[in-house]
Amino acid sequence: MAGGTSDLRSNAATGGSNGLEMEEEMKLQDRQHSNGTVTTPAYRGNDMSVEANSAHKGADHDVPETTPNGARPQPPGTRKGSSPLAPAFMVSAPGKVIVFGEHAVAAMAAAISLRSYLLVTTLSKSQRTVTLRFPDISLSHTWNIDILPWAAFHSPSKKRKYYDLVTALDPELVEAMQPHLTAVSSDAPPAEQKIQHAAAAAFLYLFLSLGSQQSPPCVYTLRSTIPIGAGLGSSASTCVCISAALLLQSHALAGPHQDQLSEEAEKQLERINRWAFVGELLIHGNPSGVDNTVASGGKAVLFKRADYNKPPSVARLGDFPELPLLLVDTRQAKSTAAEVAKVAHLRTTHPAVAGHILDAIDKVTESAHALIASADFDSNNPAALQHLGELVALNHGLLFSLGVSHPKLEKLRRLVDDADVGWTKLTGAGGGGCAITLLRPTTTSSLSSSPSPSPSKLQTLQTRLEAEGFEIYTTTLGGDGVGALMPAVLTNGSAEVGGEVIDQDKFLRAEGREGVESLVGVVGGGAGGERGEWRFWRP
Amino acid sequence: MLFLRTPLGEERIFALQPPFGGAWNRMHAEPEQPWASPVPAQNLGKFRKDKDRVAQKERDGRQQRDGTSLSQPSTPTPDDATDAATAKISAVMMASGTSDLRSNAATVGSNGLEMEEEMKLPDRQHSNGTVTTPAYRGNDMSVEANSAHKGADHDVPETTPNGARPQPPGTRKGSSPLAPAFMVSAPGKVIVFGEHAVVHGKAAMAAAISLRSYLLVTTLSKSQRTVTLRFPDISLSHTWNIDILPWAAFHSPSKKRKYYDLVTALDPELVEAMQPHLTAVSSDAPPAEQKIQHAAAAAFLYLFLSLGSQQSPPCVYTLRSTIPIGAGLGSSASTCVCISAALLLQSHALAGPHQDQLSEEAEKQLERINRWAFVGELLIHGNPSGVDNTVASGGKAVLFKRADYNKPPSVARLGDFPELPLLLVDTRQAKSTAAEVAKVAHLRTTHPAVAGHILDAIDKVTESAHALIASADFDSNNLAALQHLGELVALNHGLLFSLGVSHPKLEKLRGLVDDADVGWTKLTGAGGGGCAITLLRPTTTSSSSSSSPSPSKFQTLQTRLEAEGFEIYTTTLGGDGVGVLMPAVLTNGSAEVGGEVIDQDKFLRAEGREGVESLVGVVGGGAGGERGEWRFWRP
Repeated sequence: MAGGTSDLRSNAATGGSNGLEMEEEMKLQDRQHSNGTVTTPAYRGNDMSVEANSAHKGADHDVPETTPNGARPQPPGTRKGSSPLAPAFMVSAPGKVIVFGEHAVAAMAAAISLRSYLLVTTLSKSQRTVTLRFPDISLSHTWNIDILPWAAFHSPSKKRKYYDLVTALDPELVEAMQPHLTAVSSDAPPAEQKIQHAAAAAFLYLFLSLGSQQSPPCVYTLRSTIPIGAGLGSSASTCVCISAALLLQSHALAGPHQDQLSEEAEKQLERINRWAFVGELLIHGNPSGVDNTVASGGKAVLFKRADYNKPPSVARLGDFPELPLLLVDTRQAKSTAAEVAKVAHLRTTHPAVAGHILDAIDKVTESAHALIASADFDSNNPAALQHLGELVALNHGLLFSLGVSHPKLEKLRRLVDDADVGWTKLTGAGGGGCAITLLRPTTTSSLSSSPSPSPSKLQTLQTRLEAEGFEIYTTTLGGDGVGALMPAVLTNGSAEVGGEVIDQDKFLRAEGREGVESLVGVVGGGAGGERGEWRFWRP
Repeated sequence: MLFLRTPLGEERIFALQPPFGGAWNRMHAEPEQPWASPVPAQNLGKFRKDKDRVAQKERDGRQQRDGTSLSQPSTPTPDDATDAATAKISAVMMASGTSDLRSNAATVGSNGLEMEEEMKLPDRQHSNGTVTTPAYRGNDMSVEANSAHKGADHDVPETTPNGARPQPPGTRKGSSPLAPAFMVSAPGKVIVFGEHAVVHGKAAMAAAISLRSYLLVTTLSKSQRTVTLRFPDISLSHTWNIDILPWAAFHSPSKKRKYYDLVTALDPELVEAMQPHLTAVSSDAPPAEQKIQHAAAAAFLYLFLSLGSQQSPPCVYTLRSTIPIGAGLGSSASTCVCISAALLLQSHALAGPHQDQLSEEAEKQLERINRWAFVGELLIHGNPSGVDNTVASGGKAVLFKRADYNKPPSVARLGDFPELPLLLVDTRQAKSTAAEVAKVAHLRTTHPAVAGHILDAIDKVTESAHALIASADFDSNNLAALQHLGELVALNHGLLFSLGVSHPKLEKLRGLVDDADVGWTKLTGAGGGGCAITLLRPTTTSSSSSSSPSPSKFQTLQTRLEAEGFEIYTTTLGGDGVGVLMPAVLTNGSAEVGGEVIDQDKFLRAEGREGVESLVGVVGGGAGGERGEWRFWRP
């Protein structure tokens, strides 16, 4: 089967499978920012295929604690005789930036505090539908659970356990999903449709692999504060949310619990990560696995790819500190493939020089790793942060010398340098896209957790950057990975007894990044601090 | 033009408009054969002994006058056989004593980079054409000078020691004719690859540019006993009385250097002996300007005293340069090469240049010029690398490397270096070489592995460029080859950027040139401001001879660059080194019979770079091509 997947993989890779995987993103021709509007296509009767009806009888149920109970499934764990709803819950996973090493062999990627939030609301058992509402990509689609190709996914030779490591898609299963994907948003323009299809495919493959015909009728509503197509791992973050939600619904996960043993937490993250990778396979064809590993585990990872035909080795960096970060999006359209080709061309025409530049980048990454991993590393120590910052700036210089910077990135870098707030580099493939600035602590800052430059200086910079048409995100590097809010109730300073229930309406109405974060953000409650209701698997 | 180093950083002086109308007292040219009768070898010993006695007397006199004691005991009078050996020993003895002098001379501290062996001024000055000619100072007429000239030694060949009333040697008796005016010219340079890496033991490549210094030497009537410098670019104009110069000190047997000697360090006693004659130079100018003037005068005087004699003909040395000063373009070295070549030519120490000259012989003449030009650089910079003067003398390009900073670098001439069209843009952003060098040194300390790889990458760039140019089938008219070279230029810039030595203005410049898509750009020199070079891409429709981007594209770019306040020089890379125009007569399409005589007036009146080049440029006659009258030593 492995040999048969190569075709599929290259078909699925929307940007061309270049092996770099610096932005495992759904690519939009035009960037869309979430505006909360949702197009719900009319329900299509032709989805009710005979195939699905015949399939569900022989459905296999390896997903634990779901009860195979024939033709009329109900939410698992529901008390008999009643038809209550399972409480709504949420999962959330971060985006990522490449901190060091893009275009080189070894690279370091870290979680950012921009995140995807997935609200799972269960419907009454009379409903036999599963619905996706991903307003950020204008996706809204409902499937009839009973007509989905359960038979294909649950046949003994095909069925994968929730704890299996799946590293390739099964082309027959992908084929079996197709009729249910062609119906998704077929009125949308082609570029948009491609993204919608990729997201729907990722969900459906996981839903069919991890769920059953007896899975409860649900609505999966996704809001993301991660810009799409900017190399920030928004698709991987989405896949981690889907994976975690489906695994939680199938009771395949223990925790998250604040007293959970490190080893056990690690195991849960590994399960989530494995299935998130499957989702990425659907979206990218040939993902590196870096983005989903960061989105699930948070903090940072070091990954190495000696052989571009093999997946990279990915090591979690549990020591990675939380650092204040300015993330600026130039909004300059770019092509990862083109930037990768530039470097490949340089390696052909000037092998010795290119070799030294890439070696220098590896040394930057190595130095940063050694610094962070050292026993006495303290990110509140200005000297240590200075050293890390210098490595950031050095890495940018080397990317510049590889020829993958862009006038807009240089403009940005200069504005930030002039403001003297920290150390800047492009992040991702370059040629446009985003840059990150590791913020320098102000000399007068208190010993509080997030030392950052003086607000006025930053405000002036922000105004200047906005005048250039750049988008600015003040975020944090190295935060938590996937989290769960179970049930979806937050205190939020609301008058509701027992806290504010996050329902779909409120969630969809939240305006922009600020609205989403103030409503449900893992950080950003009343006091702006961590919200205790959100739990994380912290190894 | 010259560059000065000061602790304040550097600024520059720009080319002057010719300030001197007809002020100079010109002489009528009458043919003469200077220094024509060689002295029989057996007579030299007697003169040396005479001179030694005088020199000893002079030393004693000086001790009495200024109360200083000499570091060396008086040397016993050597005979002919031991003369050279003694000189050598004294040189060795002196070598240890020179270190102080050297570090004193290097005002900014010898960082070893030597990317711009220039004298730096704290504020950029634009020449206003004013020249201060100090009043003649009677106190220069010291007894010392008078007593010295009698015993003056004449190791400069073919000069005749002829007693108390010296006159130009070889002059036919009874007449007082002038030697015809002649010119010498030497190019500036740019670093093409490897700046900063060279500080850390890697190779770098520097090449000649078609911006040049031009030195006109006019001989005065023999009744004059003066030598005059007119360097309007640095507002220097000074006249010395030849007879009172410290000939005795320079020509004492232990001090005297032959024209073919390799002098790698200044003699502190000789430097000391010059001082009274330098303090009088332009003493009314502001200090920064004066520093440049003094350095240039010192370089000239040391060479004049080393290579000339009290019998040297009275002359005016007039310099015009098209090389911007203080921009890392080797203007001082170019000046030193001109002075060295002129003085060696006047002492008949050089053969040629002749179009049929043997390669080996031409190489030997260049070596002689270069050695003395280096001595001039020692006066100006304290610790020059020798790269600038080597390029200014030999032209084309050199590959140089300095593994041990206590030793001079190894400098290899690249005779294969092609002539390439080059855009040289000066950002006019003040910079400090020392600061940029310190940045890289700091990076090496804080991030040794990363910095090491960047420097290695730069080394590979230089190595690749060298291999490309040296390869048997390299042809700069081949687009692919030029593309490859251009990519190396752009790569080198990227690496300098990653070392942190670029500057927003340099990036602005690069952005504009890249947008115009006319070629490949890099900063040149220390960075942090200063200049950038663009190797021009040939247009697809260009003819084979001078392939360059389309004029309209180019004009647009030029306008844009000028709007940013940048200065643009369209020049050529890899041209000829030192050249000679002898006599100073060019056809120039003039109506004068036998061509246009370049006199001092015309030369000083020529306006700016264009004026100088159209009057006397080695390239740029009527048709804009090479001027056949200029001759070069082409090994």
